[in-house]
Amino acid sequence: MTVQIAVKLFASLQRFTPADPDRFPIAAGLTVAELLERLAVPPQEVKLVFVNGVKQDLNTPLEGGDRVGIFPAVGGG
Amino acid sequence: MSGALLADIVGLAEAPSGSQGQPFRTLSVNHVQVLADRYGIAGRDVEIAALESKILPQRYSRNLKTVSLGQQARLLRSSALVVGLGGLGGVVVELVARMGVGALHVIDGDRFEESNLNRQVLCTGQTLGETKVSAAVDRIQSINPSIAVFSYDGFLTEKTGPAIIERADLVIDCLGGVTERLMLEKVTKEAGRPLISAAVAGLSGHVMTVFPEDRGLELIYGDPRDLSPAGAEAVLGCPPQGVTLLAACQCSEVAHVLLKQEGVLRNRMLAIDLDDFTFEIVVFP
Repeated sequence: MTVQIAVKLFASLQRFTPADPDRFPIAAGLTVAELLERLAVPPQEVKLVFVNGVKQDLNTPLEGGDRVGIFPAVGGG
Repeated sequence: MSGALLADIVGLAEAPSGSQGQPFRTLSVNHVQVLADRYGIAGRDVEIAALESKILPQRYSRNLKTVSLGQQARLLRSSALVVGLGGLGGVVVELVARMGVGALHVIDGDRFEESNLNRQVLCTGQTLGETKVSAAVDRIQSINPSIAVFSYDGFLTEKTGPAIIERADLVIDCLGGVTERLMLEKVTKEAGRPLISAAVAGLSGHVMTVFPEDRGLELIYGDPRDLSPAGAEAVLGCPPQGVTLLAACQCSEVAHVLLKQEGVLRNRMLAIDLDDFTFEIVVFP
């Protein structure tokens, strides 16, 4: 079943943002790791993934309506 | 002296203006300085004595009602260490001086250069080439001579850090670079002080508060062995609006920690992106 999620890529990962990121279609149950692969985000650049405001690991399955945030290492000041 | 000081404060206090609906008598900036000179004490000591008699120093009148008179006195009795005086640190110094945090310790080993002009509010045509600490001290004293300033011209290290950190109630992480932040977190934890950390790249960034017993920045950055010294800021740079907003968020958290002994962002992360105005709190299960 195809469902829609919202994807938010921060800082240097913004360049991997898909078209229409608030309605990104996935197969229900796609994991975070599989999502990163579909978006062509290099895994070594990802430091933090949160789903609906909660930190999750790469094996977390995604459901329709989920909001996924992805951060690289950010250290400027 | 305290009885005489109090009598002088009461004598110089002015009637409530009424324009802001404030019932308190007020004390002008000028009269604070007169009494500090007369009694050979710091301006903040005059201000604390006034606040405890329900007399409001005019300098802080618009901090009401976000802070009460008692809370303003508590801020004046508090101290903070600002580590790094660049994009974050310049704004943090500006705001905590105006908030009336009573003693500010500032540390940085750099001098201002032209690439700082886009975002570092202490960097101007006049301060290019100057040490960042001297510009910070000048700015703090020009904004609020009531508060005490202590400066350290050099970079905080694991060796020099503990003795400096112990002089302050909390530490504000305004450093650049990822590995430097982790070092600062380590020594701040060891000194038993809370740390309010922010980091930025481009228009994105995050803020987190770390108490000594918390897991802290590893929640954001993961295993330190997998980290490069610099983050995404090496690619994206630092435009002024992102770093300034994050510094303001740090200062709100300073008030939370100093006045309530608890950070709103403790074990949580505020994620911000000004490109699309994302503001989100992330929690860590």
